[in-house]
Amino acid sequence: MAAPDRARAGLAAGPAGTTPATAIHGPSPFARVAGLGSVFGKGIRDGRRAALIIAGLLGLLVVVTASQVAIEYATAIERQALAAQMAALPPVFQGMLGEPTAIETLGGFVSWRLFGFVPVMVAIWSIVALSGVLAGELARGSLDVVAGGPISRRSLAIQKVTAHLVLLGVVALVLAVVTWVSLEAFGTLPGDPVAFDAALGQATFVFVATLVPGAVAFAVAPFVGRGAAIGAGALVLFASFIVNGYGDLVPVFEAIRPLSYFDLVEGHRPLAGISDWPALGLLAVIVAGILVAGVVAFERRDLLVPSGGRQVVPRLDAWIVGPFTRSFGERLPAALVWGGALGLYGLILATTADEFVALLSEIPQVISMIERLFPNADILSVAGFLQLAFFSEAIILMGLGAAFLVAGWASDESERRIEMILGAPVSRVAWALKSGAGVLVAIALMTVLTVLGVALGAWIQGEEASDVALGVSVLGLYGVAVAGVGLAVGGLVRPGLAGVTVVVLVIVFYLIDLLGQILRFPQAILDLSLNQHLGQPILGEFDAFGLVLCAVLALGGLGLAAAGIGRRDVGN
Amino acid sequence: MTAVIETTRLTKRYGEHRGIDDVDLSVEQGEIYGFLGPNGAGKTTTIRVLLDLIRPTSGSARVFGIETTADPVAIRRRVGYLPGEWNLYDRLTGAETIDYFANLRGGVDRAYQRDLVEQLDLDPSRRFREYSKGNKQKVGLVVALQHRPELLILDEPTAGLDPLVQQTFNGMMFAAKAEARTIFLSSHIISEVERVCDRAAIIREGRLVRVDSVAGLRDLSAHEVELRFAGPVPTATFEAMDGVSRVAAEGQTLRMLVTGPIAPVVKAAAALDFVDFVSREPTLEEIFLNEYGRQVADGRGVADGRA
Repeated sequence: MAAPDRARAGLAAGPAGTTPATAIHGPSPFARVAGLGSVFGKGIRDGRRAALIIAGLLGLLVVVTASQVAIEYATAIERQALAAQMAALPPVFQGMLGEPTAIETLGGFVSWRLFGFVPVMVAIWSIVALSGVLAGELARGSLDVVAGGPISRRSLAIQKVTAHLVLLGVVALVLAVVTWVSLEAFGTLPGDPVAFDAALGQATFVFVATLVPGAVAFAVAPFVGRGAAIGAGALVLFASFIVNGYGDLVPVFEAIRPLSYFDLVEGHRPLAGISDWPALGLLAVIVAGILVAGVVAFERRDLLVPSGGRQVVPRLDAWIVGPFTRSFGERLPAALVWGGALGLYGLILATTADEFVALLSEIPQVISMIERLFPNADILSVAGFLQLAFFSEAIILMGLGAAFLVAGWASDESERRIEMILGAPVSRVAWALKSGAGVLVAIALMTVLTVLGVALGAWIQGEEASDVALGVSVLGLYGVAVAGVGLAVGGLVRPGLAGVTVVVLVIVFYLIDLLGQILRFPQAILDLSLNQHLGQPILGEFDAFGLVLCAVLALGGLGLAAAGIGRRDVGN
Repeated sequence: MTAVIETTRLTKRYGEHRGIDDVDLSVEQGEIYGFLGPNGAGKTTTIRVLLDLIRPTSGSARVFGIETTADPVAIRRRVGYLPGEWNLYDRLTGAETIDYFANLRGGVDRAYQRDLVEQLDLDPSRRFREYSKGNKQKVGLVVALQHRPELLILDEPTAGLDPLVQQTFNGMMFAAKAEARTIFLSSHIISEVERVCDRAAIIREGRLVRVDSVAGLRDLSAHEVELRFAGPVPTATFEAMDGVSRVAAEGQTLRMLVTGPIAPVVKAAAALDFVDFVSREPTLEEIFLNEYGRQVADGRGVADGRA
């Protein structure tokens, strides 16, 4: 670098330079806190953008929900009617958000409808971030350099974890402030506004609950590697969420419900006027214990990239035939895990469906309400139960699974494998088409496993398994559709955005679906969610437009990915 | 001779950032061509344009007479490439990795592949993620060489290799040259280029500053001359001569830098009463540093560098 360049870059000149070299005496206080002055500061610096985006999105959700409820249910009578309607719904219709408490107030509604799912959304970030702080850096090789400096392993781990805790704390604080201001601003009825400490108490619940799966991912990552740690965190998150949500419906889930951390803190809803600080405190202690265990394990263990344990899939020559089989082979373990988990979830739900249906049949009011809601469907059947209890929630898991696979595909470029591959006589377009097709086929495999699990359960229940299987397979179409969008973004723009795009898309679709009907969003907004265009396929009601749209998104996305990679510089 | 690589005013810019500017290269068939430059000089950018991994902003690049953007697959079919920074599949073993790339190409001679693995003393049974940096580099070398490419493009190929393996690598380069294959070797290790290359180009801040044979680069450069006299040191005589610079007397010894032919200095010294004469040929490294050092000191632009 020439001297003027050095000066421009703000660097000290070397001995041959024209400007005198200045010594680095130590980082500034700002650099220590939010810059390159310490491991903690770098953690804050690296994660601040994600934290701000998440805080902004959550704040927006709170504002939209609170304002929409205030507009659509403006009078006390309308609110009471809404609350009565929701309370009368059997648990399966309430989704996985638990019992509605004080939802005639703005705070109670926001707490039930929104804050029941927010810890799941934010936990995905927490899992990804905490699994990577040590294991990700270890795999990249950068941890060796940092740990080679004058810093103890314990301090290194603590600083990294603390940085994430601070970022998450900022997100929770923003959430508390926005919630409090929104309820003050949009609250029109007595009981709508809440004290700031109630909003803060609710945000504290988000903070602690979010950390549970992230802490698990952090603790196991140095042993099993980042990918498996993400899987462990996701398992803790979704298993706890589903077991708690459907505990009332599924006896097996009811039996293991106390293991769910969502069950432990279910009584803590300060926005709805109830709180359970001892339970939240206990969960915080558990989280702290897991994090400490992770720090100690990191401190004591050799600094080695985990070997990943046993090979999940057998070694076959097929995996190295070409870009398609390589891509499929790379995605195969994840596809088996995601598909297996979804299939098991479906199997458990399906095999317990008869008990639920029998219970429901005994309540004539519920039957008449269901018949009004689903006039053409035999909702009092295993298929009906699966449509309500399985399909509507499995869709988000299928979407996140697709995101995981798309992110893996994109890593071929971001981790510079593509440079070696394109050194061979393989065209960019051919590589993109073949490797992208490998992702879509992996999603198809996930779907097959899911279908097998659900269909087996339905068959055990004496249901027509083929009809159920056909309906469940629509999940796969949804998966390839969102994957297609991710592939297109990765190909056209840059690989780092591919997986994130799918995650955001899946969550936005889910939230529109979750909130849209009850908040009476305009049809144009509801139509933006792909979930709205899938019909009720397990009940035999297919939405042809939606299915074609899924196919177009999948294949079109693959084509756009190929076109993008064919046109732009790769590996930059 | 046929030009295997030919670039004309090849330029690549990354937005406002410099990539390479007006690079003119011509690499002939059967030669080992060194591409020297410090980090960030534009070596990797040039290589990535040659392989159509990135597209030029202006100018053109041809490999085997084919425009790089027109039919990159046809080019890469005949090329073996080892990037400077790369990664491969953690789950695959070394053998699987090598086989994968053999499959992508087709027509790889298994015996030759095995021979390369043995020459490099690589254990192919271990998973890629378990390899050391040097062993990963060996896998990369086998991948690049196994199909006996007509043109080898190697970006910092000896990074992480121990001296013994580096010797083996040099032998592989000479063997490839003996088979009339062409090698384009990018490096910032001058001694490596000096050992194996026929010609070398020096690139700095995105522009070629010199292209010549390795021997020519040495001849074009200044010689360090040391003369010892029995009597008084005739400093003024030598200071007045063309091509002589940095004349310094120390006791009865006179040191100077002679650029170009050294004969006039020898004749002048013979006419005087000198008792000892030492002329040292500079290493390529010294030329390299001299070139960069002078340009930084002069603050001048780069010289034209036509291959």
